[in-house]
Amino acid sequence: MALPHDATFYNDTRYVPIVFDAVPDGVQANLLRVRQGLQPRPDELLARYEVFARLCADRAQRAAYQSLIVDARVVTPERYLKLWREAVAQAITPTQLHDEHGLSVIACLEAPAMAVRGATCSWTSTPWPTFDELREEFAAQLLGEEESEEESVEAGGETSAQARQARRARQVRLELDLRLDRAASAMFYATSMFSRALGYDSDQWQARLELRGAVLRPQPASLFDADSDVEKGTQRGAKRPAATSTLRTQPTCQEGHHVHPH
Amino acid sequence: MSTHIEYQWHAFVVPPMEDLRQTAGSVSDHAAIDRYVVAIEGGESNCFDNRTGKRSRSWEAGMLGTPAQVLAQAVHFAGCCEGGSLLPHNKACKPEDYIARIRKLLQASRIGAERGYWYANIDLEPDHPAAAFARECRLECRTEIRYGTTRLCVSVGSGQRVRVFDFIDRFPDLRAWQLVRVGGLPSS
Repeated sequence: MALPHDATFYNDTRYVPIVFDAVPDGVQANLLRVRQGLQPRPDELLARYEVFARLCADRAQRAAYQSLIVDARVVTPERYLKLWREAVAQAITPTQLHDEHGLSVIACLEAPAMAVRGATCSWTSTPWPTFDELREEFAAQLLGEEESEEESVEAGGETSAQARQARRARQVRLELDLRLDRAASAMFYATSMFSRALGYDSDQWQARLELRGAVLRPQPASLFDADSDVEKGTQRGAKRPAATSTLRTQPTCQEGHHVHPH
Repeated sequence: MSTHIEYQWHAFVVPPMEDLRQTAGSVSDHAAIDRYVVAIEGGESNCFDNRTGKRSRSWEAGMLGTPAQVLAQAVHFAGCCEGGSLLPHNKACKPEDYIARIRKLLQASRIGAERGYWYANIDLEPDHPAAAFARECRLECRTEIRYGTTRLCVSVGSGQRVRVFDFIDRFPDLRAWQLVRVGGLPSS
């Protein structure tokens, strides 16, 4: 999936690579991560070279060992990367991803509300001078917010240290569907604001992407007709599950002969 | 910021008959297949030789193991090609092309047509699991401190250089230059 050019400071096309893995129940859509289960890093709006670096760090190596197969066929790492290159060239928008496949990519932003109040961004290109403006623009997507000073005083009379501590611990949580105008931008610049306010390595904040929607689809009994030939680059007669056509040249991946998610 | 430039590649073929793991006392029961040591001449783009004025360069072991292991290591390196931090012959290159180059190198390499030589030079972090494996195999280990960093040097003994393949089989996170050194290859 490709994002608008203004999604980041770099003014280039950023990608959210999605892979369709064969699982026992069918085909599961996943965000491309180096290894499932790792804490997602906050830099998931990937430049093209980062997509390929990520592929070469994991999946393409597994293709070399033939422990990752594509549409039930062994592929060379070169061929596997070529498939991705074609997929990147034909990347679709977040709206197309939703309309054609029922999938949405959600930017989940979470940080201590007090700590990021008024937080500024390191990038001068930011459309939002502080996090407050960003939060205001996406108020409808706000899931959690700290209570105001007035509410706190009304509720408890005077604000105790304990109450202040509790309020500091309150999280501001935003969930932005990347179909929304400037949502990808908000993801990028909010990450910078959080990082600046709390430190890049801090575990107090999160900025991650989630894939939602019909991520699991039943897989047809056979993905290919007899005359199809992935290794030669032809995919004639491929019977693809609907989800796999998102990345038109990115067929389903299967690890080894033991079908399980990556 | 520098980029890494690669100038030449050379593959040493290690035939199964040289593989000690087929003999008594071996530590691995893997099938006997050809193994490779891929030497790469490379250097940084911003380092120059004081005498010649050319970019400085040297040969180093880059990849090691079975064809699949070597290709997987080539894929690892190839990830740097797309971003331009690895330039074969100082030219931009797609990861696919870099991997294909190494694949062709393996296919073209022949036993007995070798230049240069390679030898085992196992240099590990002391707390790496491979260090425990080395001791388990009763290999001679000695600790060295270099620039304030402690390293474990493992001697495999004369004629047993193929033992490095036991290390790469068991610990794929090790890099070829931690296990092998190369020499006798012509500079570009």
